[in-house]
Amino acid sequence: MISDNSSSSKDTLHNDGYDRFSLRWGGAAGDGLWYIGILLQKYFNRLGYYVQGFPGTQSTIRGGHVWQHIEFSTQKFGSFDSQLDLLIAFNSVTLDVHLHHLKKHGCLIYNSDMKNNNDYKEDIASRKLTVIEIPLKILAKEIDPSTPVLANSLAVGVLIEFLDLDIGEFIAILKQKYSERKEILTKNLIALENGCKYFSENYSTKCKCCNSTVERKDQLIISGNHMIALGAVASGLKFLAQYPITPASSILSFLANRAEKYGVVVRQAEDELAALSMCIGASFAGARSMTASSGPGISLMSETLGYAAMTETPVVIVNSMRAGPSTGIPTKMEQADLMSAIYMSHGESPRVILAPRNVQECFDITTRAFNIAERYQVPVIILSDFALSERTESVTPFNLDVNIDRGIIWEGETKEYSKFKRYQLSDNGISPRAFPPTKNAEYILVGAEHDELSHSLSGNRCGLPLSGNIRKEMFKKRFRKLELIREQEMNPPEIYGPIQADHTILCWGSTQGAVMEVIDQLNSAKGASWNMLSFFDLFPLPYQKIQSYLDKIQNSLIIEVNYTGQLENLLHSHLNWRPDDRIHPLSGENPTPSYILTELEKFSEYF
Amino acid sequence: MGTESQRYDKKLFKANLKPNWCPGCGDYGLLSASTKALSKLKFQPSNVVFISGIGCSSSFPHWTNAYGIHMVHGRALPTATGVKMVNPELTVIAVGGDGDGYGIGIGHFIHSARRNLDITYMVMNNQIYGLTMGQSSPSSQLGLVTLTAPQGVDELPINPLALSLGAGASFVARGFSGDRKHLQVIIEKALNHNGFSFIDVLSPCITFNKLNTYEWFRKRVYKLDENHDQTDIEAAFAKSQEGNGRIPIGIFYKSERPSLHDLDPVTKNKIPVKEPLGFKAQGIDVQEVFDDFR
Repeated sequence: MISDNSSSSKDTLHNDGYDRFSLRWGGAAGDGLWYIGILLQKYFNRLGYYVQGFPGTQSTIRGGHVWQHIEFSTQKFGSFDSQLDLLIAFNSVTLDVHLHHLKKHGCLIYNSDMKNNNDYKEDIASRKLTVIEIPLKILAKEIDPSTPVLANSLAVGVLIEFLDLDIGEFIAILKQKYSERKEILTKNLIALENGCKYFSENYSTKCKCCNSTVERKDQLIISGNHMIALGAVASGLKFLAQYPITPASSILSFLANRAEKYGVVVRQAEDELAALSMCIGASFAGARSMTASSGPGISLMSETLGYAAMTETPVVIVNSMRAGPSTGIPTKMEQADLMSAIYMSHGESPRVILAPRNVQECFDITTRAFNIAERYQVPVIILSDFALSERTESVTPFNLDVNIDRGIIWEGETKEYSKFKRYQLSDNGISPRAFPPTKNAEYILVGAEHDELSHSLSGNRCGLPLSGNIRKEMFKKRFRKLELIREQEMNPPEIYGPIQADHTILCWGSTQGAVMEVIDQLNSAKGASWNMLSFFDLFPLPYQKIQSYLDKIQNSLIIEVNYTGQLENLLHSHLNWRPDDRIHPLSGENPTPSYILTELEKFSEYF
Repeated sequence: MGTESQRYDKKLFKANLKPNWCPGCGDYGLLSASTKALSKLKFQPSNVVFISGIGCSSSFPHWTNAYGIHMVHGRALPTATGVKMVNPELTVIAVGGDGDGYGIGIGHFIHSARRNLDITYMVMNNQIYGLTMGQSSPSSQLGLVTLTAPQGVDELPINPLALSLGAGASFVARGFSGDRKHLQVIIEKALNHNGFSFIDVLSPCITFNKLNTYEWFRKRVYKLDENHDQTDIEAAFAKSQEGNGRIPIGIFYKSERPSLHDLDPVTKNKIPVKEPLGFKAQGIDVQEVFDDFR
């Protein structure tokens, strides 16, 4: 017993019903928590709620602490929060780490088999928590003495009974999942039922949620990484090479599972140097290709990224940012690779950097990335991050047919291009590509400076006056493309809230949702006037388009999950502009709306 | 007429550019033998891709008439993997030196061998770093005095043949650029082999390696004959360990097993670059795609 008041209340919590509910599910790594978390997200999503899910891990496969945050609502919301309505604790570490996040009058379902390291009686009493105790491991072993893993389905039974929701939908999910493993299915169904039964025999408290929105019943629940994978296939991805690293790995495993069906050659490379090199080869041969990694692996790719830029070979590189430098905090959230993405690799070379802000945008930006890469023949980096890669969101079904633009491809003599010259100098810097086995286009891709025919200037003409102006002309050609991209492809930030506001919050990438909620709360509760500028097209920065947005700002604050203020410095270098204040969350956790509000309150002049 | 057309064919894979190698460089031997082999076997330049890394010998693709990728240092093999795996109909030939292949790129060598990637990989092994003017290479002989080993090399050299056999290469050979005809025969067999065909080519550096000269090799090399069973991996290992001043050249080992593109779930049935792009064009049902997420 960790509490004196368990099962004391016999009523319904929150009489009007929760219209938004957050729960966290924590235990030891290896207990199957992650998996059941995914099934629960599907469950709430199928019921028609808008759902966001977020995993938390220590970088330990067995024995470390893992948790799943699941938040659902009758309405779409920007970001899950850190405050909890319900905590399900499989072990005592979960209490140590998460109990303080429970709201006053919140609920705790906890595994009464476990040993407690600390005494939480006072905390539970003072915050008037409802406590439900279930001997999960004992009940699980009654069904199958060989494993405690059925504790998961037991806990789901308890949860669904407690929330007074339809168990049928979860049974359907289990049946779908274990359609070919009848024995496992049977045991899980028994566990689910025993969980329900145990709860209703011992407790009568209910925790009612408002009815879900029926129209949402065909929606998907999907992660940022999976959206990037879908976006890539929709864009015509034919080749993915990747080396495993959290949080980018699920792109590799997802596509490996569907390689044949989706027609994508998926290779697990021996390292990231190989992964990007494989993509260069595939792209040279005419395939749309992509690799994905995170900080340490991206660092290894930097020489080859320079090669892609120098040889004008299109390729899409996903950097799912994690907290660095070096091993940093494995594996937590940070937005600290913007500068390294801009300057990665020696010398000076063009590249494009796009930062999706939410799960849907992961799809949209990926499809843009492929077209920009091939239209302008440049490497494109998608800067995602841990909080976006592994976050799931409910998404309305969308169009998978996207516009595919492969740029200029030479297949034989034309008026404009009588002879194939891979690096033909042109007004906009773009020249034709040709793929083997196209006849009369044989050429050698080379990372050395080259002439229009791709003959190396080192080698035979190294440093000789014969090279003439070519080096300069080729530099201008490559950077003309960058200016064209800036002008034609890059978007200014998006405004959320009133166009004119007293206070403006600037952010980029995955913090968009949390800042949106903060803006809503401030504007409704305090009658204040706030808006947000969220950036997603970062490099080449469309600074001319951004100027007018900055001109309208009264007071400004920027939120970036890094130490040095990388977007701030980028804006400053292009526009000589700086925000008034800044917040740099560095704990490794995703900045939630409550966190941002707490930080904002430190700037008393705003309120 | 017959001889004339043969001469024309021989030049088909030769570029107009003249190599910038030192006169007498061992690399000329491989360039000549491989371009002739390709012509003889009736390959088309538009269907062949030469891929190299960095080093003197890695300029090789520039001296050929075919497609080519002169890649960054050490990454020729993964680049070749990308080319081959999206278009298995292309003939992909990776070339480079011992520094590129046995030093900075050695990891890729082992992995490409075990994958049985269907390419031919030819290493112009001169046992020295030539382009950077004479430092030790991973295949430098013990005791060789170099810029970076003034007291003589004190690390055991790589044994590329034993290494590739151990890594699972399905075709392992050694040639000598001083014997172009013999080398050409090996290359022809390598080009016809389905899987990873590897040839270590003894290619003297006349400028920086004053020990392993043509003369030095001529005294030591001998050709494997019909008494050597190419299908016997133990015999191949034994030959790879041969010392006492004798260097066998020829095909050490050859075995038949499916290559990577025979096994890959996509390339076993399709040529990826010839397939349509996107879900709809590939006839993939949208509802089925979405059902994974419900």
